Amino acid sequence: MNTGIVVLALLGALAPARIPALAPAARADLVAIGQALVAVVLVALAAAGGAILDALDVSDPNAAIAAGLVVVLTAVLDLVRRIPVPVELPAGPVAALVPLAWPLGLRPAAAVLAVAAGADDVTAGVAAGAVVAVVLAVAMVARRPSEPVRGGVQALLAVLGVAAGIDLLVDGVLAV
Amino acid sequence: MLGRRPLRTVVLHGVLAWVVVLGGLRLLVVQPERCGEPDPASVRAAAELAVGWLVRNQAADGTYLYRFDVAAGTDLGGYNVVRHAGVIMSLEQAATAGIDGAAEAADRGTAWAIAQAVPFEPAASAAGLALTDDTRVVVPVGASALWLSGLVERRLRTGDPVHDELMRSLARFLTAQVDAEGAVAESWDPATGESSEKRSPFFTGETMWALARLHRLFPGEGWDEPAQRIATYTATVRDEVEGYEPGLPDHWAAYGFAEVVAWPERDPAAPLRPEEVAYARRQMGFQSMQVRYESQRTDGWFTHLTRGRPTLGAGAGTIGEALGSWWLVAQAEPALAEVRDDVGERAVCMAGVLADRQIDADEALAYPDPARAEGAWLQFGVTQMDDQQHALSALLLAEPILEGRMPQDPTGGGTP
Repeated sequence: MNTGIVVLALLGALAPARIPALAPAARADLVAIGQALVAVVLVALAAAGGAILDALDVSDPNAAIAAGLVVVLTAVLDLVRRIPVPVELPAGPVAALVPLAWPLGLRPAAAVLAVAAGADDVTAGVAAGAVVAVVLAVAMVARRPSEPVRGGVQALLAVLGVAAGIDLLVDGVLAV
Repeated sequence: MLGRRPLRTVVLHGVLAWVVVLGGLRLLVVQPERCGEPDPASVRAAAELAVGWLVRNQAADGTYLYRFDVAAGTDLGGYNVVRHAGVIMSLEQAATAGIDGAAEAADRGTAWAIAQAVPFEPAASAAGLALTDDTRVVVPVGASALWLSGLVERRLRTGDPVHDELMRSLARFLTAQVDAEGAVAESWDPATGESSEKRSPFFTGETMWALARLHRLFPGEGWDEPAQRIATYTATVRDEVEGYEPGLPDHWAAYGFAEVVAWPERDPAAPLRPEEVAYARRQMGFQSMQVRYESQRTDGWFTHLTRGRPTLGAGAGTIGEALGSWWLVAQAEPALAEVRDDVGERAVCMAGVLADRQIDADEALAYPDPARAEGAWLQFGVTQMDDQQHALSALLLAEPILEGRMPQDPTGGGTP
């Protein structure tokens, strides 16, 4: 698995530019904490990727196929779905955990990708992608770009995610 | 709050999304790959059972039981001389691996084949011999190729020169079936002396392997030239010329390249040419994909629905043969070093699948004729001798991978 492809696929799966639209009232510090938690979980999943796949009797290439598939589906849905209605946030720092870290931040496609990439020794790609996602989400919440700009970034990441997901899929099919 | 999704709804949707995605993946995309728990002892035991089936069910004239409905206890008849030669070859491999009874059963099969062979007497080249049977109008080229591979195995193991001229005669016939580009005729017609313009998906690799092995046995006699022609054709244009898209998974070519990497003329630092490395890498991918899919199949209704039924013993065996042979190639070729462990893992997985699916002594008692059930692989209650042949070879090729050693020289060819 190529590190750059993993980074792009992870950005497509996490879609950090959705956060300002889903939680417009969120404070930047809480978004930062939530996204950092997501990054920690993803890196932990990547570190345990080999053991997880062994326990499930799944080979690395088949995990790559699964990851590619869900990344593509997630990114395509992000491209075609209308902007969702904003989420009601609880008061206080607990919002960093629910809903900012989960379910808005950590999505199943990202988790599956982290496991597959980690099993293939590309944990660094997962860490890099997760850090970029934190930075992007926090920057967009802090700067509040116009909706066309935010939507453009989201669409760009989704398109890159689709391409990277297809690459993962094909590599998984042809892998030894 | 108006215009906002309640947190409870968001959480419920989140839970639902995770359940649907993870559950859907597990059910439909990444079902468990059941490789069993193969170890040297279990793989050896399965190989011995397979040899036992072939030996027990060999007729007095040297032919092997061809097709048998194990569930009904009925001999379904028929025979195929190419598969006869394939069984000889696998039994010779088993004899090299030290399995009792295999060498004698192979010799009896060879005695029958000698009686079937017909002269090949072209005007333009030296005479030879070709293996066929009396039910055929044309001679299938693959029968001679597999027989020759088996005879080379025997010669390397025993040092017995009794069949040396027979081997050269078969090789002359095979060489005459290779055209200038490296394509191999599917058949030869003794009545007209013409070779077919048709190509077989199997006989090309079988012929390459046989001639490549003979070159290792008799270097300096020129058998490497036609073998190399076939190797180049196979690695470069065969898929396009013969219409295989995206490519033909060819276990016989894998055997062939496992010989080529050990040719004395090849540079040990880079035994394969670049186009051969690329071909090997593609083939490893094809075969890996197949074992990853096949190992997800069980006799349960759900995998029948989502993955289809487990394939024939012959089908699973050929995947294992290919991967075991490519593992040998990867041991010798530095350019394939990064996939050595993976290809070995897949070959061992296929051996585990085969061992699990074989009818053992206890299971055989449930059938009307246990002697014809024990050691067999069934599909729809039926077994065919090439099920045992290919599975046996795959198991033997997995043994050195499990034991972390290179095989005894005659078995597979490549040396690191």
